[in-house]
Amino acid sequence: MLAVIDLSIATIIIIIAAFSLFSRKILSSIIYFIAFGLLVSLAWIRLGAPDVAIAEAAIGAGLTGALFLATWKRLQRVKAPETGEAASSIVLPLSISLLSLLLTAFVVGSIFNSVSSAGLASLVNETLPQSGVSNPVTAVLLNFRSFDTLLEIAVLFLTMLAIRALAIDFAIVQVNIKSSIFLQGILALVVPLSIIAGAYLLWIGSSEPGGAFQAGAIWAGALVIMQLANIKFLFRLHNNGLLSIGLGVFIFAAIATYLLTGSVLMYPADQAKFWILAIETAAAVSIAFILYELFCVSHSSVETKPAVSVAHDRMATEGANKS
Amino acid sequence: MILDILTALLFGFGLFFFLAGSIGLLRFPDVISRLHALTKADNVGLACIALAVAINTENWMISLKLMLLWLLVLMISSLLSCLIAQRVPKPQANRLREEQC
Amino acid sequence: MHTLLIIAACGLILAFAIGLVRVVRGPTKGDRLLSLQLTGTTGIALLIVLSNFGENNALINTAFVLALLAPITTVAYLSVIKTLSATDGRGESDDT
Repeated sequence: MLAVIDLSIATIIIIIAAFSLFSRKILSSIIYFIAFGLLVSLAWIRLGAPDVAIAEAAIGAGLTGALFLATWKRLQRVKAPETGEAASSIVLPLSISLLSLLLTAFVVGSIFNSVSSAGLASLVNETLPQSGVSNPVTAVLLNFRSFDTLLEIAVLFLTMLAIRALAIDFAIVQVNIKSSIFLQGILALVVPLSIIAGAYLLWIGSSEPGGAFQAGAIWAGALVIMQLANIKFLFRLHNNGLLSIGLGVFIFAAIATYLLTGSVLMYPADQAKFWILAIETAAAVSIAFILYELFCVSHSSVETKPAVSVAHDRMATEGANKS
Repeated sequence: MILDILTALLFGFGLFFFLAGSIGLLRFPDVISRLHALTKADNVGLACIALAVAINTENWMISLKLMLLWLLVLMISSLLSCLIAQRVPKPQANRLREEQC
Repeated sequence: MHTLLIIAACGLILAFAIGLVRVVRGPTKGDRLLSLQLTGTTGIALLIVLSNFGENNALINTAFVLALLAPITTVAYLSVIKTLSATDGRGESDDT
């Protein structure tokens, strides 16, 4: 009976994706993409992956939308061409379509051919009590396959470095939002609750769907909405320390565990939960600031009137120094 | 038994309000009126649905969480709709008001 | 009770689809923004319904996350669009 729901969600996803791809104007494509992100989050839930659904709701329906809109605004300034030039030959689209078709056939075929193998789920469930957490996703990410997560966080960090290197001379985008009491109300409501919600997801990540990435994404959302409203901060938000603390703590944990137990990222017995929580906290903070940094590079603002002024405008001087 | 009837009633009302909001979004002539239909109808629909789910939940803390979720959505969407309405250009809003007088 | 949830979910998906028509057709930029609002609220309601009467706590957490991050898209949209009543047809040029 639930197949009706799944089928309708899948149909709407495909329709929205088609609209997003074939829409003539980029702004409409962006809007369709935001709705698409929300629907994909629902699809993840129907597929039984609530952790990914939370991350997708935070990033796909919130952050990516803001990022694309800010990038669109900047493209308007740069007067980039909206749609690409007409393709001169049919070879490239044809080959890509064939490749996608082959890939789809492969995936579908392997779905139908897969014997009743539950994958590694049984193995994970056996060793779950020893991992220090009771959420299998967190156990896999931060205990069984923690080296992969270390590399993923390193990749995220390198991405931030690369984008920062490219943005030495980015244009100042004029922010259009006026200081409005409703915006202040939204900020007063959303920001503290986001901080608490992120901390909550970080904490329950050990037993329920949640974890470092989801918490980082929500915190990044709070930072992004403050950036959009031109809040001045007491401390430098583009703080290099905050950006690298995730990777730093992870590497420190790797070295420390090597020294303690003789094997990299093999947590000492009965201490696993403490190590995992420490790494997750640092990673969440880092992810939040890295995502915020990725957003800021595309949307640097010169405000006319600040919405809520907290302290002296260090941000404006930083922007003036950079340009 | 009463619980089932109440739940069915609440779900019915909630769905009615949600569909009314969506159809209002389709059929109203102006951005401001669409905003009006959307915010009011959707939030009442969400209240009915959240209440219907909350009264059937075993864990009372999750019921409380659902009610708080509805309050949060109510506050955020009213603030957002005021924010959007502030940005709709004035002549359009005034013209709609004049047309209806 | 299970069928009641499925009926509610189908009704919400229908409301979602109707809102998406407005995203596609909406002549002005404000209409597109409103439809995004509708998808957000309908998504929250759908998540609540799919949580099987509170058994699946993760879905309610997802609904919270969605509620908290919906304003970001709206505020970002309002900060990059100049006039909400600017109509844009299917093939006209994008003027902010």
